[in-house]
Amino acid sequence: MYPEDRKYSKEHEWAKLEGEVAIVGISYHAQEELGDIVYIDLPEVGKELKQGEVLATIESVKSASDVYSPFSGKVIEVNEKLKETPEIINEDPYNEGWIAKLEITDLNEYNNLLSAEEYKSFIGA
Amino acid sequence: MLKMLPLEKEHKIVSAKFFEFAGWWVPLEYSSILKEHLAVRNLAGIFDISHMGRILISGKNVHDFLQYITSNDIYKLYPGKAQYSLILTPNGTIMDDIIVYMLSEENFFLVVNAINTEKIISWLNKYKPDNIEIEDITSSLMLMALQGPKSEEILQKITDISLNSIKYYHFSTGKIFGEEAIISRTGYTGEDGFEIVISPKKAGEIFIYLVKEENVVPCGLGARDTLRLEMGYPLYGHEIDENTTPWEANLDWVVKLNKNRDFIGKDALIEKKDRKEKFLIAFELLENSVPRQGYEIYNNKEEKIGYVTSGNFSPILKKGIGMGYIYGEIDSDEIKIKIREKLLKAKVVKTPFIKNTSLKRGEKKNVS
Repeated sequence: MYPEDRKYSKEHEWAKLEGEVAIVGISYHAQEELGDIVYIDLPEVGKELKQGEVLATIESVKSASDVYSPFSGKVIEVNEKLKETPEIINEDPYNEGWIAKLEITDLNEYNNLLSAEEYKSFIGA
Repeated sequence: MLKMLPLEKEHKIVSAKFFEFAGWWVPLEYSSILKEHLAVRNLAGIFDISHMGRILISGKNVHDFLQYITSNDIYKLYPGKAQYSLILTPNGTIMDDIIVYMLSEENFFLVVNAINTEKIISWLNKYKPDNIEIEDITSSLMLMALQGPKSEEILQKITDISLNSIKYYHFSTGKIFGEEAIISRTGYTGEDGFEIVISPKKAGEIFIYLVKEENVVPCGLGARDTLRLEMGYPLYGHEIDENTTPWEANLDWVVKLNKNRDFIGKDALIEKKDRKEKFLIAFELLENSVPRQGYEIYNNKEEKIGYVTSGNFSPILKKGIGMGYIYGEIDSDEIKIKIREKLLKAKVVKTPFIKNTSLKRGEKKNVS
């Protein structure tokens, strides 16, 4: 449920590095807490974000929840499929359900995120 | 201290996710709010709503007392008949919306909102004559709702009551699994269905039996809220509260100014009838997003004109829907809802949002 090929934030995002770009999504735990996801407000491509700023907002039947950028960077791509089928975040949060790709500004920010093991103990899984 | 449901253990067996509601620890969802919602629209769902307040009122002049306390006409009731009604403040605003059941000439039974239970009990005690008894039976009896087009077929298998003979907003007493129960054809979903009052003794067994039935899904308060929203039913703390008159909430039909007795709030109501400070509207969002309570409503000139009282994603219409108050009447049905700093287009519509439910299809209507 928590693949080891990526890092996690305490706000329940995951980030997976591919060169200087990182793919960002939300963890299995996060999607389970949110319940049925029905809409996502995606960022504009080109938007520059500092670590901890709002990257996207996910609407589930229960609530609206912000997704924070786990590191500083520039949005270079968003998952267009989520516009029509946001529920794929529930179904496959780590692959099909990715949210955005960001160019990383400071690699240290990425490195300081939690490992899968650390994240699991953080959420008590 | 959170209040726990008698069936907490049973809810955990079927993987309920709990949350705090009105001082109670209750199921929010089991599998998924969407699945539970659709199960109720298409098949059936079982809800444990034992957090709702239940009050027995008995005594010789109970009719007269309830006629004074509630806004509807108590004399329309007869044993076996239930009635939607309001308890008003002396200012004519809504203290609670309730269901009154007439058990017998001298015995009535009220179902009130969980958040208001204590308030209503003190209110009743404050006004009651000496010969009237008020008894809080909230924790001694369970309240469950089986809702959806398959409800009758499913429930009939375990009760000796002939369910087909119970009309809408009527009830009957009999046995379920050998245990004494009151079954009413009432609900808060817009679907045909029943509400069941029963002792906790057999309730666990009944609940587990029902969730194992092929066409029944356990449902939490999440689905209860999206189901009532699709019907445009008001909810205390959202569309109705002590700052709102029945006129403003479009509940004129529950106010009987000409009944045979004065009632609390009547004078204020007469005065406020043509002086509404706000108007309840319903709307569908024309862009993808989800409206929520507290969001602002704008007109098409982008002037702020009101606020959202309830909003969510409609699982049936697959779009955002909501209700809210505007401060004056508008001449256009085009409005906008402010969601995260953007003004999204919406259209004023009539409720219910969903027209063709099993309740509307059935000929069991007889509400007064």
